[in-house]
Amino acid sequence: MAARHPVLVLISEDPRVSHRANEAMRIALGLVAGETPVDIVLTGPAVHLLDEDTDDLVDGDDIAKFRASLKKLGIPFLVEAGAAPADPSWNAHGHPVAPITTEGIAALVPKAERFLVF
Amino acid sequence: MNLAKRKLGLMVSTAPEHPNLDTALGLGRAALDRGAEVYLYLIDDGVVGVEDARVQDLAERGAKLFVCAYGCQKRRRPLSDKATNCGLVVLADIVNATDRFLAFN
Repeated sequence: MAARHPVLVLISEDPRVSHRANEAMRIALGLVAGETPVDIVLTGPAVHLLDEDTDDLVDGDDIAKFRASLKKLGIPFLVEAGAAPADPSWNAHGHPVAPITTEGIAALVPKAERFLVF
Repeated sequence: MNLAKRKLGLMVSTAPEHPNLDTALGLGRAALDRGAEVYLYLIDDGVVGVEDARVQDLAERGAKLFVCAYGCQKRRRPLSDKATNCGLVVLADIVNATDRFLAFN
């Protein structure tokens, strides 16, 4: 049974210091695989989930695997405006991303029915 | 308020010592007392609490208890026979099939 509205997965954990950013992404992937629509928003240091080099990330191997699966499924990351690093190697794998403002994030809230905030 | 036939889904991803667990269990007890069905899914650091007496008490009151098998495996914890060990498909089902779903992260 598909959800009537998307699940909003908001990730602000820093994958350089916490495994929880990866766990949030894994959960999002699990929901998508179950045909539940999901909006994934990365704010603050969570944007490092798209770092090219995952060696410095907690559970980096899993991060690479899960984000590749999300990419294959065509699930974009909505990235907080201004949070993405200037480093040209960021998102080197070309994951679909779209910038989103704070107001844009707020506008997603009434459209969602479930919320996972990490 | 009678909540008969209503379904409440709860997800806890934090360790048992975090206040989240008591909050979730309190909500679960209140919902059960009013006739609702309660589904508690322990994930990530929350899997450590599967055999916690407080969690088992909620299960004994009638809550359906699920624990993330991946989380247990990652923490090298044995699978518990006091809960349904499962994966994210079940979590997705709980997310979609409950009237209210609350995640404590």
